[in-house]
Amino acid sequence: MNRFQRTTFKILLVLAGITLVPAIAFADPTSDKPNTPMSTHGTISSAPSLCKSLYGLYETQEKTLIQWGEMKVTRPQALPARKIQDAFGKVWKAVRDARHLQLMGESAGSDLTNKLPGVEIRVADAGLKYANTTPGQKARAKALAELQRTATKRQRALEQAKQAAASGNLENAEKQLEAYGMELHENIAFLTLKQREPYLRQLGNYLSPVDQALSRKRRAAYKQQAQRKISADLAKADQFAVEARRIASEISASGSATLGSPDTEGDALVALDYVAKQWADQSASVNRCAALYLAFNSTISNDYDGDGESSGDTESNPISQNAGRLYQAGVAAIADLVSATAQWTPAEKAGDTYSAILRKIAVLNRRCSGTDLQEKCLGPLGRLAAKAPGLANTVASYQQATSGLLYWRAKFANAQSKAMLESYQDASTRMGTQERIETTNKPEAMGRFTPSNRIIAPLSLSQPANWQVFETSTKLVGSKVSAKTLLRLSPTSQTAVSQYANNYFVNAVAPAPNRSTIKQLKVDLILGTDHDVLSFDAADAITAAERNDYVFVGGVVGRVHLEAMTTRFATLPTAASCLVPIGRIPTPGPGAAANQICWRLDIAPTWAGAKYFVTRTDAR
Amino acid sequence: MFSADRSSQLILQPSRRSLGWVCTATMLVFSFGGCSKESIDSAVSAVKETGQDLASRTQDMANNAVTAAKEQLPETGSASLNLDPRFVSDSAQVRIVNIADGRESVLQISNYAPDTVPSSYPQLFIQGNTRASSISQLSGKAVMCSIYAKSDASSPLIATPDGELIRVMFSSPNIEKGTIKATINRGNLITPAGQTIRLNGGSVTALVPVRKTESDE
Repeated sequence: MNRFQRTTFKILLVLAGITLVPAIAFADPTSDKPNTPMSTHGTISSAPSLCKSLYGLYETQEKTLIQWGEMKVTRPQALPARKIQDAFGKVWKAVRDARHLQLMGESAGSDLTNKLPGVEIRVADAGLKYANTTPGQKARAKALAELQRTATKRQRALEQAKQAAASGNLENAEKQLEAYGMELHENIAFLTLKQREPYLRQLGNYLSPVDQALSRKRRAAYKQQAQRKISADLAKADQFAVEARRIASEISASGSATLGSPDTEGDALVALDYVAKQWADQSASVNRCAALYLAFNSTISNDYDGDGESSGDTESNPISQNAGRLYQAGVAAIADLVSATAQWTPAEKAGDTYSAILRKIAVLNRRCSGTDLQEKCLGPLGRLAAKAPGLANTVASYQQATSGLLYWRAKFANAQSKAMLESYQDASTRMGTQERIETTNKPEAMGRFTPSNRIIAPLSLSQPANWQVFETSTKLVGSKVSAKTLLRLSPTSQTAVSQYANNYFVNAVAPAPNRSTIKQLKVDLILGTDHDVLSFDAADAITAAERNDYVFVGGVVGRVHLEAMTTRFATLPTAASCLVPIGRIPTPGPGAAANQICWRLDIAPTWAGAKYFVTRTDAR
Repeated sequence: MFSADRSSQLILQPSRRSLGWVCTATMLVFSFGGCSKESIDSAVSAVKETGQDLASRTQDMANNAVTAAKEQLPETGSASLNLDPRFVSDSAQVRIVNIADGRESVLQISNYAPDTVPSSYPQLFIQGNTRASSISQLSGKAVMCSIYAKSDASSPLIATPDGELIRVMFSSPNIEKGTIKATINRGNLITPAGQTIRLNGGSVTALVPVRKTESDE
């Protein structure tokens, strides 16, 4: 490769790092597409379509307001009166729908609740600006006359709705009141604020009790719906323990077990892979449940009855117990499988099996919240080693031959990572830093932007997500950050993630170790075609090199994603289970879980540090 | 007798010297490998043949051995690396670990007890794979080695970069002194920050481990 080719290759690698990360990608606002709507988990089936239509309305209205922005100042008489009226009614309804979306456990509802009132205020303002013009004055007089003329009829409509509510038909009452409200907003669009007030108060008097009762009813029903899903999924997760025990006992009895479908049989090693896969899959499922629990038990801003129970930290999330049980069940099941393996492995295969198990456990162990797996498998592995004459001695010698060097490799790799970390700021520290935000994508028509000192990437949504992700990106894209852990999603996926913590994770193409590193590791671990690892640490070292699993990663931020924390984990793909260590559930930061952000930073790694080696992509 | 051939440490330290001449002689013979069971037995019986009160004889011999060790043996070995500043350690020991499953054996040199974690400075660790299965087989042979060294708490740990092992050449062991000398070739070492440190060679006089024998048990 000449210098040009090398440079091109490096650029391609960086681009690949930025773009080749689709495995857990879905639509959400990003630094390059900030206006993408926030996604939904859709636990309540009508939520996704409602969400889509509300974002559509927001987008349209924002564009319209941008058009009106200049007209409001230069020629307000030319503002389109009918469109203002229409928008006033529609946006009023949309604000209500956004709250409904929140009740459905969708954080997109929080975003829309941050977005739409701003639109409502500006539409109302356009009405006022128009009303101050000559044609506007006429329109106002006409509207007042119309309101007077229809007073009795409107009063009747309100009473009708009240009766519907009294007879228990809250949905019908709401429907009537919303139709009334939309029409009323169209009619009061050109009134002064003072003139609007009695009409709005009157509507509020009828609507508030309906809203209160209905939101309580809806929240309870939605929560129940979510709880049914949670319970069903948790039951499956608990079933894992039973299934794993069955497999272990079948293996123990006959050396093979039925795996998954009735016609699939497998020996102990195949069973171990199968159980490990089920374990990780169920861990993803438990994480989805934990997020749904947060979504439907979170405090909601504008919550009518304030029944939000908690801001949902791990302590109060009961699903952490399921995660703990799943962890223990997996550890026990795998230790049992190793025991069963020891029972059925013929002496001549004991060595190879021993190594194969060590490798599998090493990979799994990096995806767990503790080291119990390694510890619990020690005894069964000892029994396996005892199967072949001399194997236990060989294992002990191998330990002596490799542990010293691995001790030094770990010391050196750790020092290398520390040296690299000096020029890479910890991502969460960087994100939590206050800096002066100078630029925005917030349109002028949506309000004045004042540069100010703000947290680069706040934990909660406090302004529209599309502006937030843009402003955050101005400070993060291009910066050098580091994160703890980088684990490949699977042996076949290039995508790797850091384990979620502090409301963020990084996403990257895992860098493969340099060839010389792998070669040297094989020398250090005395590996060859016929000789595999015989210690856990050696297995940890070589599998980390082969899987590209790291404990640190540093790189340049290429893209920033703003995802809702609850949605991220409620829709966690099974393939991305390693985002949360098995045995844990994702923890939200302080504040209402429904408003929590899960930042995702796509980075192009320049280095990554494993326990026993460091990979530098800039040194190739 | 040598089938397991795993080394276990028995460094010549005062507390161990009282084991007596019988053991010491036997162990030294053992440690250099290549001796048959018969020859060891005859060495032991030669000691026995001197007769008289074996217990007091043994005690005398032990005392002699202590004196001899003090006078002649570098009790702890030594190592130096020609770096700037020079790395010097007043102890070094060598062992060969045979895994006995067909793999290469592993040569380890360290200035602290193997299978432990160093607790003081300087720290030195050298390891390489070899077909030699005993120290005596190292004689005249070179082993490509990884080197790790740290002079003190404030200096960086330096190491051979992956794929750039350094040749360590062994001379014949000195059976009398219980040591083996090795010359370390020139090469490059790196710091964790990526700085290359030139190693202008070095040398080691490593204490050879003495294996436990039945008389130790």
